[in-house]
Amino acid sequence: MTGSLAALLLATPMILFLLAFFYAPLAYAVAYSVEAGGGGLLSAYIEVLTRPEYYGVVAASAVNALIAAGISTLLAAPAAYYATNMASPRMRPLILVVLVAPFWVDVLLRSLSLKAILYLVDVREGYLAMMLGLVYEYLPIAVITGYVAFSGAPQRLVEAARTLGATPLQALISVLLPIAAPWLAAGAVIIFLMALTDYVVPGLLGGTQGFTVGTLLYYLILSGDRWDLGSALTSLLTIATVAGTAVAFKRIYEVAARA
Amino acid sequence: MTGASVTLEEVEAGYGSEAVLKGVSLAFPRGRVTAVIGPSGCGKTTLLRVVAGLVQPRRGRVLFDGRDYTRVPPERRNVGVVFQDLALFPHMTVYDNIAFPLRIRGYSEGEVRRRVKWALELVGLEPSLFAGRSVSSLSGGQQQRVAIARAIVYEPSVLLLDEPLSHLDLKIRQRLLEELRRIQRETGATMIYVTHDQWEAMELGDYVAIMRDGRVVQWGEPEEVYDNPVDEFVATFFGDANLLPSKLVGLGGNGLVAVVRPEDVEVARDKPGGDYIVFEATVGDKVFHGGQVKVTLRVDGVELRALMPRRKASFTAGDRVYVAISKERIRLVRRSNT
Repeated sequence: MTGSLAALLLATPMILFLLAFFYAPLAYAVAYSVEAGGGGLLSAYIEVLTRPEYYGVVAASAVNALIAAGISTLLAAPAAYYATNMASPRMRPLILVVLVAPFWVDVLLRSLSLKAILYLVDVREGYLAMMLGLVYEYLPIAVITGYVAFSGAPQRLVEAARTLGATPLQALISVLLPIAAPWLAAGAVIIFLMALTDYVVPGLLGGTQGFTVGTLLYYLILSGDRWDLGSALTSLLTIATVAGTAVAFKRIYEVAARA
Repeated sequence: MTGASVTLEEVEAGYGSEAVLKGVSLAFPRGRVTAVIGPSGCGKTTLLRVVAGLVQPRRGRVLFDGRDYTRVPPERRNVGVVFQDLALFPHMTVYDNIAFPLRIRGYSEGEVRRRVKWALELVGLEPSLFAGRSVSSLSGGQQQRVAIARAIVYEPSVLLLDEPLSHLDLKIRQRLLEELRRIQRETGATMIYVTHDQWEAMELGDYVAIMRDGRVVQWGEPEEVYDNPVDEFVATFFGDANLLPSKLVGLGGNGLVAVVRPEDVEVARDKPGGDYIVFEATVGDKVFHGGQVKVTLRVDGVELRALMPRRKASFTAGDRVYVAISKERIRLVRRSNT
């Protein structure tokens, strides 16, 4: 009893912080969105849900986020495998630092410098530049989750598979990937969620392609003075992502637990 | 299954700038058990990895049945390896772990089932109880058995074991050691058993190879090595040995040292006759070893250990006794720098 009380005390600062800065404002936003529309209760929701152009923006953002999550995970996985399993143990932390270093530079700065570099090779704002920017932004996260993924799938298992008759490719497919996959997927889900509402990179690099959910919310709330619509859209997105994440992580957890 | 003979010729291997094997030549006879024994860091695990094909030697050759296998990748060597940490696949059941090498080889599912059942029974796990379990739900001893089953199920010609019993408790270790002996006899595989435990090596090995600092210092049948160690290191590492100061026995010096096994140190109350070296000593500690007792004897600031049946050890600490060592039980060996 005293043990669980002490544990609760340890968690208290975090809980208070989240209450003050996340749950309370979220509740307020939801409450606000429910009654703030011009046409009575839930009218903001009705307006959001009956605007086809919003569906288009959400769908396009989701596709972009999915692609960015997929590409960064695929790019990071081999590097993370190298860093965890192939490099000499002394080099491993250094390699991780080198791979994650871009994380330490602010995303605004990175996006602007990427823009400058792309201009040099005559690539202007647009879909390609935006996707490059998104992958660039989230690659370090993918490296970190990949690092965790392949730390659980040590080289010894590959060696064991080799002595049992597997070629390197067979060992990769039947041993390494099944063990690492749940963690790689978890990383991809995190990146997807972050990329979905990103508006810095799409705004700077996307040009006309850069109108995403994030940008839409930005305009609704800060420029368009439609706080009611912004709150309603935010609430719907939050519910959808929380539900989606819960399902995804439950599935990932089940797969990982079998391992 | 027929075993293959394995021969290492002047093998040098290492990691980065570090040399671990410094010229090892060693033959592992077909169908026999060779225990490779040495202190940690002596290179015995690297030796095993060279035979498995997991480490490429920098120099020298690895021969299987006389054919050069130095560049043959592990998956084409037909070896079975039981790793020290087992390396069971955590995402697979017991059945799938053991079936893995068979499926890779393209066996039909019927044949896979038959062989997995055979291997599970061979290592003493009831197939109907264990096949469907996840490996993480098993005890250490059971995991050990699964690892052995996985390594023998495809009847490899060479079975390599890297300290497979080191983290098990004594009773299970004893039983698995006996079962490994039986499995080796039944399958006829050539077995290379790496251990730091001299008793395991003596019990299991048809031959022992003693390693130190990247080299094999002695090879032979366990009794032969025990009776005729080439140097002080082997004498003290493979079995217990007393180093006899030359001023006490009038032997040794000049780079040589006289050694005697504790069971060859006799203790008596009366001065014995015969072809013995005899001196007086004081009884120190007595350590109970079940049927035997290890008695520490002090003479001139030197401690000697004597191993004797319990009924003969009727001394108490502080007693003055005679120590008698038969001259033919004393071996003169090269001094080792330790």
